[in-house]
Amino acid sequence: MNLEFLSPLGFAGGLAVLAGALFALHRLRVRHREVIVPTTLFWKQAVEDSLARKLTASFRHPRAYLFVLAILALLLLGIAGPSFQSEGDSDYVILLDGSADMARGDCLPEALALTQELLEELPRDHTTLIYSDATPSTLLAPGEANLLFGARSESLVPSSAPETITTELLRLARESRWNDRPLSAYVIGEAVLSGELRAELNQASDGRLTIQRVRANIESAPTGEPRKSNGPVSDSIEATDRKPAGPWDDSIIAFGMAPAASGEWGAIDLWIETGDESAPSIQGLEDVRFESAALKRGSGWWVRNLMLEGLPETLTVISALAGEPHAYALSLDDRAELAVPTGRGAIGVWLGADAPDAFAAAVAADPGLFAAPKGEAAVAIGSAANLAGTSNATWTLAPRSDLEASMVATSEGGSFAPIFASLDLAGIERNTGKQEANAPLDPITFAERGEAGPALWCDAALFAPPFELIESRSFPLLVGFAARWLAGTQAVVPFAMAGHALPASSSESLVNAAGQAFASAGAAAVPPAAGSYGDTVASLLSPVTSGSYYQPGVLTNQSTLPIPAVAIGDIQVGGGSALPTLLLLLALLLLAIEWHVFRTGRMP
Amino acid sequence: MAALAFEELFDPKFMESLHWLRLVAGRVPMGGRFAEQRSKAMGHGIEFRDFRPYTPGDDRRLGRVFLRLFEEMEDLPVYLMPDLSASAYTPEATGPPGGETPLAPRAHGGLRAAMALATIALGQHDSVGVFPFSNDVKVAIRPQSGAGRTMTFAKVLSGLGPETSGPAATTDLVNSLRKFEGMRLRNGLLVIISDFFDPAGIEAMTKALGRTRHKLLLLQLVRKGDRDPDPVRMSGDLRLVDSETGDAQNLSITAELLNRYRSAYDHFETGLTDFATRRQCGLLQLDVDQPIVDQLATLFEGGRYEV
Repeated sequence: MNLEFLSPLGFAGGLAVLAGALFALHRLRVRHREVIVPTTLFWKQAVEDSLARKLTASFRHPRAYLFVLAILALLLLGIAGPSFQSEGDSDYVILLDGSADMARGDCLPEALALTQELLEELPRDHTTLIYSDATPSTLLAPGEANLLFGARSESLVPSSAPETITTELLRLARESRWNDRPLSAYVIGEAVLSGELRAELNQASDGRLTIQRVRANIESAPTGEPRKSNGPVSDSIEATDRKPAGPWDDSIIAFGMAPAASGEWGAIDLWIETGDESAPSIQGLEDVRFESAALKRGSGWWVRNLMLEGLPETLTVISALAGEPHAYALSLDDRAELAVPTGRGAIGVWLGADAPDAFAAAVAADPGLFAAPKGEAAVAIGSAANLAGTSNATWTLAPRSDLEASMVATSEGGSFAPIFASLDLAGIERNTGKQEANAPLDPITFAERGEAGPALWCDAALFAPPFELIESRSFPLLVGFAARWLAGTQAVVPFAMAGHALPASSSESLVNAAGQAFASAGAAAVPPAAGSYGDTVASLLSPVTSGSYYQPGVLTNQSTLPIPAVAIGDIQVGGGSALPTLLLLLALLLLAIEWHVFRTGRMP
Repeated sequence: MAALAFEELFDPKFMESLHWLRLVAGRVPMGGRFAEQRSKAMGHGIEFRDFRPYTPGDDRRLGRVFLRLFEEMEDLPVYLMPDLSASAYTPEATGPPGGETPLAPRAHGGLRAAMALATIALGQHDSVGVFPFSNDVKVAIRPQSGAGRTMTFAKVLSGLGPETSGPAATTDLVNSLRKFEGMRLRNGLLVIISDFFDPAGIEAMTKALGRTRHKLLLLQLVRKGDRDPDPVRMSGDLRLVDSETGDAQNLSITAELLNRYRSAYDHFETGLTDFATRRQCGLLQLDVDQPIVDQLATLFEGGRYEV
């Protein structure tokens, strides 16, 4: 048998649907059996009783209904916790640190308890709770019940990432600029918050963002004295105020590298900082020798003159305590990784006769540069006459009248960032042409052209009185970076601190330009930040360090002022009232009235 | 529905079983005929009752200053009101659907009870009248006395049955009692033999009963299934048809509905019992499927029923 309009499957399916529909209809079908009874009087009374309980019956108890409705409405309103807020009041945001630091000891549970306490103090409708881990997320949006916090925070664990509080604060600062209401941010956790950060955020938010660090017990918080700390080259590293007084981290604290201090080209020095006294080990490099450096807290270790050639792409340092239980430590602190830069090829530089002698001295002092014949050099430096006919990348020393700025760079499709960065690193301030008109001697101006390049033009007067740039100790740095930029080779990052993502714009640009994945340095295993290292001086090949995550210039030599902490009890928040309690009491009163009316027979 | 056969009422065994039962009245009203019940009147009987002082007009020939009073013996009027409404003749059955065993109408049980009471009353020279009722009251037998009239009563009672023409007769005790009171009969014992399934409800019924000036004896005709419906027959989806009004009620029998039915029935029972207690009148539930005399005998403690 064939089916013309339906496939067998369609027929079976249709039959199944019909069977289902008919089954449902048959469930509704009723066939009454007739029975004659002496009287249906009692059956009718029974049915009337059941009819009275049907939804479709006429509504007979409006008073009782209104009573119950009012009571429930009051209860609901009371539970909802209404409060009156005026327009001038602030919005609140709680930033809960979820970085790797929070895994230490009971940091996170304590922070969660503190957060719960703070949530009770702040107006729910105007409070946002952000969990700031590697990818910050909103835990509680404005208006959401505080009870949800318990459920949502159950599965929270610190992420293997540096703190992101500062990034979030920057975002909030930018957003608050456009909001009608001021924004108060409460930071809970281990993130380092400096006075400089507050100043930056204040500027970014146009003064609409206030930041407070929250502590359970204000008496234990440090005072706000100015604090200076030195880089890892120094023998004194101060812990930040977020670390406990006792042994706080006995694994890898910092791991970084620098060009070898010995001057050996193609070699690097490694800096490892540990919380304990035992020397760590480097995976795959069993024979290296660790030089200890005394620190106030923990130990510092140098590995000198490690040749880049033959090194693995990634260096992994392992704590001596790895695998053993130890207090205040994370297992992820036991290892730290750092990508190794590629080898450093020396760049040949030809100097024209018009180039000042200081250029030759700078080339000689830089192991990455060497004096080469004109035909073999990658970079040629000299006057326009000297450089005529060269096919190399050129650095022309020209009269100021020939240039639109003191220094002009050309690059077609290339990035000017590295050369900008080199000027930053050299401490040379840049400014606009307008400022130059007002102050012709200061500062140096800089311009860029999208022409074929790379090429560099400089006002020859910069290297003569009154500028005498060649007398500056930054001059060799300028020569080194400029030659590397012109040659198109990788600029070796002076130092990369594990746990920091090379935050300064200049350093970041260098890394990106070189195509190196330095942003991932240490990302696989991020030790907590050891502290801040602002007190450093730039000099060629010195192991310049990066500073805290948010630090506009690594060479600003600023001290840090920690943001003072505030206790929850001291937080003053407008709004809030006893209204919920009053509503609940009113509901109880109505309930009593209803009971009385019911008992006195005035209501069914 | 067939009427009760004369042989079923005038059965020698049935008559014999009633000989030891007696209706005894405290004081019957004056104005009756000479019989065996003590009357409120004092007169010429042979049983000494009381003295009373001489009053002018008494026969002075006796030379005494007081008079002796003797009991006056008169008859007790007994008015029997059997229920002939359609509910009393409802064809009822027992057993599962399809295999039912028909039951005798409950009116038959009522007529047997009426015959038994008539036999007892006639046997002690009391006057007995039969006033069957449904939506109205009728006079089947005017009050009369004499043991020789038993056969007449049996014939009349066996001839009673439901209305065969016109709509089914409903129970209207209120109207029936009003009509009965209008007959201005001598105060006596009014025996109402009914299922009391009056659509007017128990409250209206008891109110009407309370207005009567007669002594009351209520014989309630019941069946086991009245309070607890047969779970076999009364299950599933039913269309219940009222035998009196013809009203139909569609129901799906559930345990909850049955509970509510029982509550309604209990309310009815309680109303009747409370009235009997209040009025201090007799109330006997007669299971029409059981022997009538045996149940009536429970009313006659020591063979006597004090009216």
